[in-house]
Amino acid sequence: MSHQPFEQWIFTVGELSSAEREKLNQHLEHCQHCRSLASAMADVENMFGDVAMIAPPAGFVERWTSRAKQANMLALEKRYQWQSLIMLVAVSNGIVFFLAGMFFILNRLFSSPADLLITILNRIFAYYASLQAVQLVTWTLLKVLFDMIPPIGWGVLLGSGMTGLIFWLILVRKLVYSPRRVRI
Amino acid sequence: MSENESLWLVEASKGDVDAFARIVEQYQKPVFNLCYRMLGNVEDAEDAAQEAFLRAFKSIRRYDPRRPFGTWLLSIASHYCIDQLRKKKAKGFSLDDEENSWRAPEASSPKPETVAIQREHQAEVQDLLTILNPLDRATIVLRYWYDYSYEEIAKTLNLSISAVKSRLHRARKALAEQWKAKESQEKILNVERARHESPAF
Repeated sequence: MSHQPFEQWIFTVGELSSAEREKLNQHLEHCQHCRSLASAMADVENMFGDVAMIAPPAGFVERWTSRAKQANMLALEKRYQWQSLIMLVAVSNGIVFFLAGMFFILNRLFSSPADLLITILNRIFAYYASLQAVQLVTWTLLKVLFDMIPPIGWGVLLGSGMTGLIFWLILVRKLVYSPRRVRI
Repeated sequence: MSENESLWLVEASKGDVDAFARIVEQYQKPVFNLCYRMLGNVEDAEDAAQEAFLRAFKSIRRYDPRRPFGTWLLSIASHYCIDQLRKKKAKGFSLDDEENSWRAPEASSPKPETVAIQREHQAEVQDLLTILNPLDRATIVLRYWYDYSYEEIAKTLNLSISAVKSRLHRARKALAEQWKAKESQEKILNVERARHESPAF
């Protein structure tokens, strides 16, 4: 005797149509196998319904709080350890590079001091020349700008700049001091 | 979720342990119950529930406020329990440790006979749940103890709705068959016992 689809329907949760339920009930009347399965399922469901939710042993929240605080401390210690390690590596590298550089410079100075001095002087003059060029370009641009924009334009520009600055300051203040909102 | 809980969550998201402790107080029972149904003993359930709350606290910034907080918590707890069960499977995990078994709830069962019946039912329920694999067990627990819909179970366990339906169907069938087998075994034992008992005077 075929028990399908009735066996399937017995274990389907709340999705049977009234016609299917009718057919299932008719089948259960004369099928011992399916009837025993349906009865077992009903027993299991009744038992699940009977057993209450279990509460944790007393002091659960206190135990969690101390565990969380301990975990926080451990995380903090770990972070400090990492920061110290990174600092140590950075400082060691700095010292190594500094010593290597000093050794290189001193070595060149002792082997050929004139060459080193000429190189240093050349660098200084080159930097000076670059700065002069930048200064010249800046002045020229400013002069052109001053000639191009009328005095009223300068007023508008300054006004909008100041307004932007005020808005920016307000925004920064709001973001820094207002708490982050979490909507639940 | 109440306004207070929202405020505690905001504080907890800034790292305030005491604020989250209030959340723990609110949700300790459902989370512990889930862990107990999944793991089968009080000690493991306590560990798992504590760990689940700790994980929730650490990842509170990743919590999506559009999702119900309880579902999110139960999702963390059920995934943790499933992982624990899978790890313990290789070690031959047993749920029959009498010392760690169910404790009577304090207020709901004042009479000793009620406690005894409940204890028996709890033991039977845990025996039944043991036959299910971790994911099927979680599906059944969420369905029967938390009255979750297919969609809620799917979201909690990261499954598709069709997977939830098929897991529920399979689990219910396994539970019914196990119950049926147990009943027939008990009937045979009773007949055997009656046969060996001396006739009454």
